[in-house]
Amino acid sequence: MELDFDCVDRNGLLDNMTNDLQNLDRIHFDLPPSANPSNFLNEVFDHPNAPKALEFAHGTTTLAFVYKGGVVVTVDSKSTQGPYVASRTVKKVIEITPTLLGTMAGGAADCSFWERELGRRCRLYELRNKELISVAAASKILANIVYSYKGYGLSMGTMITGWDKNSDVPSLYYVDNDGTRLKGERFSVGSGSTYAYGVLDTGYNFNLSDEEAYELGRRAVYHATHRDAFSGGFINVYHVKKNGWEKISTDDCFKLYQKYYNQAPINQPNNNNNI
Amino acid sequence: METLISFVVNGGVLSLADQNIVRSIVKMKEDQDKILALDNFKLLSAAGEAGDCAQFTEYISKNLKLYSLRNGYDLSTTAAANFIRSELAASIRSHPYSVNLILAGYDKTDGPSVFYLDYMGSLQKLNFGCHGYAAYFLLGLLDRHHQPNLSLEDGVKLMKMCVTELQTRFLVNGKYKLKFVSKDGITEIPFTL
Repeated sequence: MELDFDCVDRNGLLDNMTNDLQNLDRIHFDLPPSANPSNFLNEVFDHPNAPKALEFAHGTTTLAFVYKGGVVVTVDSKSTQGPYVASRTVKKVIEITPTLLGTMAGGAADCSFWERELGRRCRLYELRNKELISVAAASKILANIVYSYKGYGLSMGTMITGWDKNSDVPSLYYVDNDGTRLKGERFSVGSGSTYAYGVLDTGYNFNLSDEEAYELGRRAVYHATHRDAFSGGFINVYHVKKNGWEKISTDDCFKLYQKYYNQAPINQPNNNNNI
Repeated sequence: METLISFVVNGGVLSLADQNIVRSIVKMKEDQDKILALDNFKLLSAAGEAGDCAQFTEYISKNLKLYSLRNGYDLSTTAAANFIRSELAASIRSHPYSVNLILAGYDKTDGPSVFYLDYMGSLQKLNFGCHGYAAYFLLGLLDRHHQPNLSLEDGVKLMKMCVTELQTRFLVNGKYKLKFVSKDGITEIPFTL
């Protein structure tokens, strides 16, 4: 991947065309015609007649945690642009390779583009080295990419998970657009993350059974969708196992609401008694 | 809101750092090791902007490793400090790394030493150094209580004093990691109050 600075000084159509042709056979990424793209964007959107500032699909709840059976990844599926709900069925779990999963929070395009690119690089690694890439290495590729674009306006908060073949343990990394890369056992990302953490942290235990783990992940995101207006839609649960990931369930939030509403919270009478 | 402290004791250096990684209002991690072992006798504590910290310290540690592989010996603590300073100073005008550092090391000839570096490329050799808001709470305390010839035991007690002060007056709380470098190399000292 390289930054294409050629377009900065060239304005002619022909030049642009030759430029495009030159770049056909290699991966490249066009930049706005300015030496400092983030300043350029700020100036453009500062103007009184400027179009409305770029709005990314911001509201999200995603979470992942490691337990004895692997990693559970749970996400919501709502995409909002300001007050407008652009979609209620977004796939926020990105299937990078058959063994690696990534999650999407922040800019949807940034996440899907760069995690697709990550998938390409992981596959190339596999072909070159005749073994699967480790989660540590894969997450570092992504972290190095976003770090090289630091300050250029990328917006992504992502979790990379998988099962490491050589050390035979599940692992989980958090990578975000300012280049942070953290290894951990529990992460939640997005506008609903604080609500999800509240459920996840209190219910978490390394020795959870598979079913308990799915339910914990689903519950945590469900409660986040309940409190966070920008999260909602369907709740997707994935399970990363020794031999690759598996999609466990997809549930409509409203149906979950019906289901959970009739369940009594711990030590409290059933909600139905109040009706 | 990050805390780094290092000071010289008799025959070595103690380095302490908090273990929190914070994003906005969320504590993403509370067991991060912010004290990197550059080689068997150097500890580099780093705090600053997310991303920059990891990238810069890795760049430094790999280059020091390369030096030792090429030459068959490690850089002295002073030389390493000057190398790090020059890298920070070289990048400050074009692509600044927002990283504040404390280098602690032990040399056979020079003994223990502490170097204080900031993101703009300043370098000071000190008996004790402190980065972050903790400096406001601890510099006075260290002025009053620190002596370079403290025994290791008294040094650890002084570190505990520092952390006790932070826990009473500083709004941030969390866990800390303590490491010691001396002629015998680097050890981690279990740190509970």
